[in-house]
Amino acid sequence: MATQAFIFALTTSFIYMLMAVGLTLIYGILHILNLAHGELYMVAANVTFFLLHDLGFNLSTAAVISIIIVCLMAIVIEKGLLWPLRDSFLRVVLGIVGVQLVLMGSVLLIFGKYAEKYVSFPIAGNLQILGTPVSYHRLTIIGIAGVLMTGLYLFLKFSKHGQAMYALEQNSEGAALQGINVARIRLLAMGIAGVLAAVAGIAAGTLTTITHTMGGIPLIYGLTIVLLGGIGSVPGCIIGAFIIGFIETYLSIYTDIHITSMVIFMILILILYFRPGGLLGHELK
Amino acid sequence: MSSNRLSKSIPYLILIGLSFLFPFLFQEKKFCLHLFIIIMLNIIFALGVRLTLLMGLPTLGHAAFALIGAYTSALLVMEVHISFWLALPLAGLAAVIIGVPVCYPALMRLRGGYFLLVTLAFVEFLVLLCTLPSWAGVFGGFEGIMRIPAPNSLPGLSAIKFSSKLSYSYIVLIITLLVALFMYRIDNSQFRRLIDATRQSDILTECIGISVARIKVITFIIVCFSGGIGGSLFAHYQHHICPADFGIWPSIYMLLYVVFGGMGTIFGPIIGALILTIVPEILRFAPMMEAIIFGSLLIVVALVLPHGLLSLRYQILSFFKSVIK
Amino acid sequence: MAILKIQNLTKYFGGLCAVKELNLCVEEGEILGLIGPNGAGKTTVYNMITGICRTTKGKILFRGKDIVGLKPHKIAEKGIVRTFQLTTLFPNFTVLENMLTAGHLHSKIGFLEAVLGTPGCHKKEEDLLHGAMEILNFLGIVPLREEFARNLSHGFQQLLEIAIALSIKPQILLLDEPTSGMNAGEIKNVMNLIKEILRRGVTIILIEHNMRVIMDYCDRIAVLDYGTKIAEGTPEEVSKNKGVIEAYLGAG
Repeated sequence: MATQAFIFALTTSFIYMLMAVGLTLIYGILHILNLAHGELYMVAANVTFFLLHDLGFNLSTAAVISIIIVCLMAIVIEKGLLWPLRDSFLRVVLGIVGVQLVLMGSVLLIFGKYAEKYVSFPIAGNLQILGTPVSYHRLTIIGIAGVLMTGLYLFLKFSKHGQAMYALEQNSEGAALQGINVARIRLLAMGIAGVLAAVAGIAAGTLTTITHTMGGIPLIYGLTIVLLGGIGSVPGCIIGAFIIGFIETYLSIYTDIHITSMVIFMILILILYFRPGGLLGHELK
Repeated sequence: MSSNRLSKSIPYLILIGLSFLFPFLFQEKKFCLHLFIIIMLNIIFALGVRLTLLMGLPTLGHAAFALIGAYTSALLVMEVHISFWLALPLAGLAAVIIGVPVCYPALMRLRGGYFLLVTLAFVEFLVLLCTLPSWAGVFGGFEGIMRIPAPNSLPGLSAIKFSSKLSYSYIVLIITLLVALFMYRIDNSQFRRLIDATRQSDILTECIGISVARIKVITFIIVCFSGGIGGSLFAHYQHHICPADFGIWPSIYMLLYVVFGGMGTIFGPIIGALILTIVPEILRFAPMMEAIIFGSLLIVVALVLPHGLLSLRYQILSFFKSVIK
Repeated sequence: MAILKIQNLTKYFGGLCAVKELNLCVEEGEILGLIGPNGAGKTTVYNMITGICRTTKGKILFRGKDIVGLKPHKIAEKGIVRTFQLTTLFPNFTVLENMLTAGHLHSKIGFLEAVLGTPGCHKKEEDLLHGAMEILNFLGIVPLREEFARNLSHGFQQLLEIAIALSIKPQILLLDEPTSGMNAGEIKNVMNLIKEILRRGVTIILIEHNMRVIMDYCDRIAVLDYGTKIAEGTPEEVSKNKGVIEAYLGAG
């Protein structure tokens, strides 16, 4: 039982990690709060369900299609809204809330007719690890998340574009002068973040009910993790994700869900009050 | 008053007069009165959000103060048995007593997106607090507090029953006008200049002998108080409050009223509250499409109008000017 | 009489020492030049005097009372006012609005009377306007009063900065490179104004890189390098000081 909880916590942490890393990439570089990030997660889950349930695709194909769709959505949001409005915080908030409403409304309209939406994982059964049964389901989630994180790490560290992202995060004017095409890097970052959010959403869709409002909590938890680990710090996100994921899982076992969320919100406020730079991050600008 | 000032005030006086006439004329149409009351409440909230924005602090948690005000007022009237008329200002006071200390570090040290996150976390925290099953005895949990009484009659005016929409319309109208008048006076005073100075450069403001902390705290007190009394008015109108009435989405709408209408003057939030309260009502006929249409409207306004709806007037004017040249 | 006494003033930013054991006396009514290579700690000293920056160690005595730890607005209230290296104004205010804000401290307009619009408040606002126009007149920038501060040329922005500082009725005025970017004519104009401010009883500390200005106008000079004072005295004495010459030539 105790190890079951551990596996739960681990899976949850990885799912939040995917959201958080996307957010830290965007916030560190684009310097805006993409409030619609939770909706990207939500759309991926819903579309996957639809493809699986109505069109009979298998999970892998449905997942890939959903990821592509959400990735394109993220790019369109960047190109159509976030980039043109990048100088005005309030206009961005206005527009992005509009995007949230459109996405939630559309999902409600198109997929709202289903009573309960679940995506079940095709491979049943468990693998015995160190004497405990671990479901293939959760193993796959953890595995895919791990692969993505590793891939992202390599990309950021070694590729030209990845390094450009770090340069932008440190100093946008200087980077632009060095010939880094800021607009294109932002598109790339949004695309990557979209993919990560989509994977997180699809994974979550196999674990809980799919609704049109499921994106709210992952967004806030993701932001808490980003702040905990330090904005712009990917390693910080990873550690933060484990902290929050484990706190959430173990608290939900012993108290009710409201208190769990309250604790996480409290953590968010305390970080902002006492260490806005995060546990690992740099000084707040 | 000089004759110039008098003539400038005439449009406003006409508007105020019309708004006093409205409930009387439409007293049979309950739905119109309902809309009227809701619009007035939303104006109060929008004006509070605007004041926060004037300090350069975006807020997605204004409903928190409404929540505090609503629950305080309901509990004071129902459990402690005090008169609504006393509970109303106390509700505002409660919002100040809780809101100012809790948000103080954010107010002083955080900017932009970070302040936004604190407001977001604060309002959701309060919502969750009121939803807690273990505290359902006090807050009513998920379902909230029901059968909240209407305001009691005033001595000497016992003929007026405030349980009717008509009389409640006038209460709300008068209070909204008072709030709007207060905000208007602030806008035309030295204090507004100090708020603008703080927003542009708090270091310079501090170095010229003005306590930035004092300005922000005074402004925030007004923000919290107005939110609190708005919440109380809401509670005793709806006769039922639940945590879901006060979370992030209501707060988002309150911000939208201001950003949509424009924050330059007090008329931006007023127009914004008016339009953005009515539009969703009109869209009720197509419930599935409501969110999509509303969201699209917001996206269009964000992309096309830099300073909200009221800037449209200037844009049209400057367009004509450039055409004439 | 020393109006300002700095004793053992020290400031560490993490491991980096910006100011080290600075001891300095400023005589009332004098104009003291504060010079030194970039990074010598001059602006940090200003930041500590005005309370923007916390001191690590040391005392700053204004007329005998220690002002370390006071908030910046309290220090401005006492009469210590500064300008900034990067011209700091209210960019979206007009020149006049800048002045009406700067004059607030001494206008004594309270919150309630301002919002209520009492007759007493109107009188105070009239006085505020009067005082603002007087200072603008003194600096010769009255015609610019409706211009937005961000649209002014650099030279006029610097004059506005001084105007703002004067609105606070300073006893000590800390100027941070007031002549930067100015041509000879503008410099003469500004320094004449500063001389007149001095004549009216304001003590002045002047950070400057323009050596002519320092030599021609300062009563005494203090030289900082790497956070410590390496020389102090009249312009004559300082210009002959070997350590000073080394500090400047070495830094080039």
